[in-house]
Formats: sequence, structure tokens, C-alpha cells
Amino acid sequence: MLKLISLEIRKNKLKTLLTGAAIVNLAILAFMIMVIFVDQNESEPSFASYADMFEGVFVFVKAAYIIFASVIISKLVIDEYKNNTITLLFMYPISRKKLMTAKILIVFAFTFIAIIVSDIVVGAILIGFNSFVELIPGELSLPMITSELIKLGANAFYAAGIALIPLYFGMKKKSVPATIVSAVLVTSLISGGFDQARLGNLAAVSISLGLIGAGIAYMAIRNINHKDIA
Amino acid sequence: MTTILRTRNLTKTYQGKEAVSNVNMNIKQGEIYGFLGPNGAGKTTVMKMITNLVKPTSGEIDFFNEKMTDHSYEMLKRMGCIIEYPVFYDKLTAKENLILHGEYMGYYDPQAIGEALELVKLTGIDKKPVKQFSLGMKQRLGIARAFMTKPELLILDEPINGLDPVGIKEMREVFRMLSREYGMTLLVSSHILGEIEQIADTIGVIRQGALVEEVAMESIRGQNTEYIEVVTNEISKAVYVLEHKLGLNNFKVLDHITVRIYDGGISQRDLNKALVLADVEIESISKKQHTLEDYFLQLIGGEGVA
Repeated sequence: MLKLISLEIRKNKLKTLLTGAAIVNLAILAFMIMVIFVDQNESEPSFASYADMFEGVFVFVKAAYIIFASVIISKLVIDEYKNNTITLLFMYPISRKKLMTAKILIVFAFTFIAIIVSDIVVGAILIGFNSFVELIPGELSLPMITSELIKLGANAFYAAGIALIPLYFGMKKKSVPATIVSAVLVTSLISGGFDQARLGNLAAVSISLGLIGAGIAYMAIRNINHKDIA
Repeated sequence: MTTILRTRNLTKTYQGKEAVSNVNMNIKQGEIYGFLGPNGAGKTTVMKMITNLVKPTSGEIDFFNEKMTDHSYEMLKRMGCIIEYPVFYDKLTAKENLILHGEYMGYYDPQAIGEALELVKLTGIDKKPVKQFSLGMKQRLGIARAFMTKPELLILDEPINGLDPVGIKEMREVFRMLSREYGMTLLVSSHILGEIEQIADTIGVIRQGALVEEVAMESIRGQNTEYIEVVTNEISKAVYVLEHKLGLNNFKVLDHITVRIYDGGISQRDLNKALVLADVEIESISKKQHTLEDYFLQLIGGEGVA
């Protein structure tokens, strides 16, 4: 399986994704800093505390990487169908299930790890930045950081599942736009709203969407053996 | 010779319509099997079923006496294929594509790639991504990729599409070489009879999804009749000469001016001499052949075969 994953990475030149992720993080960082500055004179600033700030980072990172994942799904799965290289791939003496599993694992693992790393890096930079400008009031405490880290890990895990939902729409139509548009829709569904009334903040919603994503991935792998490749 | 691939009543239905119906193919080890049929006759569908891309609606495929199922992956190791048209990961170079192919096939021989590229005469393309290749170059690369792992069965769907006449000739040599030197069995499809005729040992003709004929080239070559055609204005005089002076009776008068002599015992020269001596005025005299083309056109029903 590791071998298949490394072949997929080589084949699709996935290392360039790291550059993409870096750009995404820079953009989120810039946006956060901008919001912090613009809001400083408002009576009700968006980020009244570190908890608010973390919340902001988590929402943006999650949204960005769910969409990012749909781009990877397009590259790894949908493009293979569109360019017909899937006929090549499925003529290899390797189980179709394993080939698909490798692809889906890449998407899942990348989303999970990218969200964790980005949350930590962007959060840490903002904390460092705030220690100079002191725009966000309040203190950081160890219990708070621990609880935020747990939240972050759980969030990343759900998001990695949710990121697989676009696979369903993409496979149905074998279309890249369908994949990415469905990712945008899913993202706006979970990150829309304001303050605490966000759908994605309800653990039950996140968990069920994550499970739906996992279910979609399972179905995609399970059915692959009997499919005709036209 | 042992049969390495056998299909039994192979059928594929798409939306209630039979694309391939009850095909019984027998491909013997070491031969070049020409798979001939007009466009849309079902050649590609049959090949896709053999390579396990498309699952048969009914019937079965035996490869090396082993029945193919949804889970038969190991047997794919023994095949090399191009189906429809050669596809590549086209942002990568030719070499990178072949390296990947080797990795997926579980075939590790660093020399094989260079050898294969050389054999199909693809050199000096080290840095070019496959995207920039012409169709002919892709076709060559596809052929190289298919035989690079030295498979026992090589499946080539329309391998000469997009090649120029020189390329066609070169690839024909490559196919013969692979068959003779490596003992590979080849299944080559085409809608161009002239091509198949030159390399195949056995020909399978498919029409509207049904295999209408499977025959060894040797036996049809023998069936072909040669004849001498004489065109003259004095047909009765000519017939008299044929019958009484030359003692021939295996000839046919076509119309008022043409007569065909099927008797193999007489040469064109002797015939000419006898007719001239009898003062028969000859418009033309020539040796002709019922070609394979006539034979296959008959089978296919005269459509679509160039």
C-alpha cells in the first residue's frame, strides 16, 4: 500500500501541493491579521479573546482544506477517468480496490495532517504577532491550549472525512467542476453562520458529515471491482 | 500448439443491445492473431473483456487454462496491452511513463526501457513530456510500453493508427520480431485488411458483434484461385482454340469479350502463342487473382473495410 501511495505521489507530482498549502496558509494568515487590525476600534471586535481567534483560524483552515482536498480528488481520481488513464491503471496486476484505497488514503491523510499543521502554525504565528501588537486581550493558559489542541485534532479528523463527500458528486459525473463545486457547497454549509451558531460547531453535525464522507469512500472502493471501464 | 486464450460464448450487452454476442475465440501460443472487423463491430469490447476492464454479461474467458474472474489480477501480469488509443500520464516524459509502468507491473529491469524505446525508434526525446508527442510517437511509445515487460500475450488495438507508411513497416517488423524472437503471442486488431493480412497467422473476423470466421491464413491462401483473363473481340474463335487446340475445359466465358481460364496447366505465354497462331485478335491478356480482400469483403458484407 505504501508503495502504491508513493507511486501516486510521483505520478501526479503531488509534491507541488506543498507549495499550494503554503500559499493557502499565507493567505489565511494575512486575512486574520487584517481582520485583527481593522476590527481594533470597533466596539465589538471579531476576536475579543484568544478563544475567538482560534475559532476563526479553525474555521478558515477547515474550509480552505476541504476545498483543497477536492482539488486533490480531481487530480487523483476524476482526471484518471477523464484522461482515460484509468484503463491503464486497471490493467495492472493490482486489485482495483487497493488502487482506489491508496488514492483515498492520500486525500484523507493530506487533509488531516494539513489542517493540524496549518492550525498550529497559523495559530502560533498569530500568538507571536499579538505579543507585539497586543490587540487581543486575555492570557493564554496551559489548560486552554490543551483544550484547543484537542478541539483542533477532532476538527481535523471530521474535516478529513467531510473532505471525501465531493468524491460522490465527482464520480457520478466524472467531472472536476462538480467535485470542486460540491466541496464549496459543503464548506459553506458547515462554516456559514455567525458567532457560535455555526453548523460545523455542532459535534453531531460534523461527526455525521464525516461519517457520510467515509461511507462514500467505502462505497467507491467496494463497487469498483464490478464496474465496466468504458 | 497450445491454446493460451479461449473465449466461450462471450457476450456483452449494453442497455439490452448485444455489442458482442457469443464470441468463441481461440488464440494459440506463439501466433499472431489478426482481429479484423469494421469500425464498431465489437473488437475493442472483446479486447476490454480480455483485459478485465469490461465484465462479460455472459460467457467466459480462459487464459492459460484459468478462468478469468473479477479478481483475476495476477494474469494481467502476463499481458501487455494498448486498448483503443495509447494513454499516458502526459505531463511526464516517455521514460518516466515507462518507469512507472514497470513499477506497477512489478517488472524491474533497468535495461528494458532503453531497449524498448530503441526498438520502436523513439530516441532523443528525453526531456519532452508525452503531451507534446504526435499521435505516431504516442503509438510507438504505447507499443514499447506494452512489450517492455516481455508479456506472453500482447494485445494491440489498432496499433498502426496514426503511423506513417515507414512507421507502419517498422512496426510490422517489430511485431514479427517479438513473435519470433521472444515467442510472444500477439492479438492485433485492425479494420485495415492489408495490414492484418501481412502479419497474421490466424484471422478472426468480427461483424456486428459476432465472430463470423476464424481461419488460419495458410488455408485461405490455398483457397485463392488464380486465373488468366483474356479480352478479345473474337470470343467464339478464342473458345474454339481453347477447347480444341489446347484441350482446356476449365474456363468461363464472362460476357461477349471476356473469358477466364482457371486451368493451372497452361502458362500465359503458351496461351498467347496459341491464340496468335490461330489469328485471334487479343485486346488484353493478364493473370489475375481472387484476393483475400474479395474473400473478406464477402464475409463482412462489403462495408467499412478499406
